[in-house]
Amino acid sequence: MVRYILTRLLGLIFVLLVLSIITFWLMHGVPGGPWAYGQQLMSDQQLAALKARYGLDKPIWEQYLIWLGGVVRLDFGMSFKHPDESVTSLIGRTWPVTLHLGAMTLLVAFGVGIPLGILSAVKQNTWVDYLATLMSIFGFVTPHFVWGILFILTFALYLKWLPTGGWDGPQYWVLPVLAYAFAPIATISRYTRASVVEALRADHVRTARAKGLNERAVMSRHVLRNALIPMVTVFGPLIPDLITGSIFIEAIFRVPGLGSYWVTSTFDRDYPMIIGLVMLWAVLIAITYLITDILYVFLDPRVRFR
Amino acid sequence: MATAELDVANRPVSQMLRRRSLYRDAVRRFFRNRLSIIGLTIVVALLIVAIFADDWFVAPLLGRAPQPLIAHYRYDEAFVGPTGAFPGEEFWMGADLNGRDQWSRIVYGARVSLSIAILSQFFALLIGLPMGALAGWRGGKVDYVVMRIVDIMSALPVLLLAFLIMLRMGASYWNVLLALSLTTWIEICRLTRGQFLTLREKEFVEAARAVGSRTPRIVFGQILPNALAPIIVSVTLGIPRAIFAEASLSFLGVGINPPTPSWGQMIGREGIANMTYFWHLALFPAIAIALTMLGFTLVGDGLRDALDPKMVEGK
Repeated sequence: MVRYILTRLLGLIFVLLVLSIITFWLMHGVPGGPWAYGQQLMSDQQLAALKARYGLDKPIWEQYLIWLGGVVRLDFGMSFKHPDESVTSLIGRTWPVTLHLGAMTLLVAFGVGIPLGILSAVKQNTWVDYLATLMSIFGFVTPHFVWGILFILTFALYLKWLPTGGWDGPQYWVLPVLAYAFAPIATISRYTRASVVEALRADHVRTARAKGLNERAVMSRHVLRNALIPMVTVFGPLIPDLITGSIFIEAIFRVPGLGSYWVTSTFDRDYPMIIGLVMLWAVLIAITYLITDILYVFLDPRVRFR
Repeated sequence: MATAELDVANRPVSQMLRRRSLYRDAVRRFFRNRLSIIGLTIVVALLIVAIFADDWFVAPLLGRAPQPLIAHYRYDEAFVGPTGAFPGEEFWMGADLNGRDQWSRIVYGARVSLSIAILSQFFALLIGLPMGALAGWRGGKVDYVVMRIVDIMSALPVLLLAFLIMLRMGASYWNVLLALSLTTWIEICRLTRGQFLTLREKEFVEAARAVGSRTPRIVFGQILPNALAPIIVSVTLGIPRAIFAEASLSFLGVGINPPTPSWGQMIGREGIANMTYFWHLALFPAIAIALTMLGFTLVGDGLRDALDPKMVEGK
């Protein structure tokens, strides 16, 4: 077990290293440097001095090594766009908002998705099931920014129940979370339904019924416990979707989180910020996958490592 | 003598019969499913809209620029009067802030969206299938190298990877196509590898080898046809994902360049910023994206259910 985790972590470090090289190469090839179309006019000397200050006059491999040396000390450099703030502190300042949004979304997604899935499994092939299936198809195929637009148009502009955007209190949370949670609700309820349907057919469930156990006990003790274990694996793949989703949701609802920096930092050619974000998200995704795999072993004794 | 025997070895009559009936059954199951019919209707309608947006297929013969057919105007034809006009009789979906007819732009947008999605999945198949087949068939070092590439590529979500590639190459139609092909082959590769890994150990492959079939014959004649069903499903379901990815890239401003219309770009450039007053700028492209993804997803789901033999036993 420990050995497995160690191998996975080593593999992870390798992947991140290669990814950082690719990202570094990709972003430094972008036409126009950070001060190419700057707002203020600069003489060539000033520009050269600025480039020297940030080390942009050095060959790209040297820049990469300098960056890597900083990363070891958890220093991702200074943001070009916000010269008085380091990338680490910028992320530390704006990430809580994104995390808050993401956590609420996950809560809603599981809180609605699992009961919906169970309901449509128990009432299999009735109108309740069809309605839930239809809902999850729509949730599945409609991108979050489309939901965002439809929700703003209906609930904020037409009905005027909620604000169109911003992040100042609970009434501002409702629409972004709903638009954000729709797709995960669909995924979760689909998987839950399939999983519960399979568990309902299992022999031990029939045995439990045959020995006269009441329906509630059969469901809670024999069906749901077995059916919900596979749901752990749904959790992992949801995270990348949530992470990319934050870019769009935050842009549409004007949420001052980390996601909006993706767009702004790339248009500003803010190299340290771009690579900081890429690394942060790659680490996050990789760790979620690792945790999912480990959790799965703890929850399901049938799975064993090679 | 050898050829005759090899032919029998590679295409046993019983297997041919079974294979043909599997696909015939699949077609029957597909058309019995109400949702797949709805999906297919949407897809066919969209394809017609995309192809017949203008008469590009006869225009070169007549020696003139294509004239709009389903679209009312050219996508870049601007009118001074109706800038931002609301939906009405002349402009069904209103006009954008440059005074261009939204209906025409949405119709031409279908062409951009569908062509990128379908072509990118075709190229992804061209990369992913051979790579996956090679990794699964050869195993060992080849497999190790391919799987490490796959690992690195899947460390970031497809969209972010495509975003970075677009940043380097700049926004354009062909670059979006390239970025999406380069990022979506991974899933096809992984799937093909898995299929080849399991299928190469199967008895019929061993039998083919025992009667002296050469490798290409085993790979193309035996394994590939058996591995095809899940790959078809994966490619079909890749299309709505590619539509979503193109819309997202264009939304962020690194996808399709104006004046060429793309639904995502229409939302991102004018739609979001002006939603409080010019609601039609965001609403119609949003509906177009949702409808297109719905159509292709329903077709993909229908194909998956139809091609999965386990579904038959279950019901």
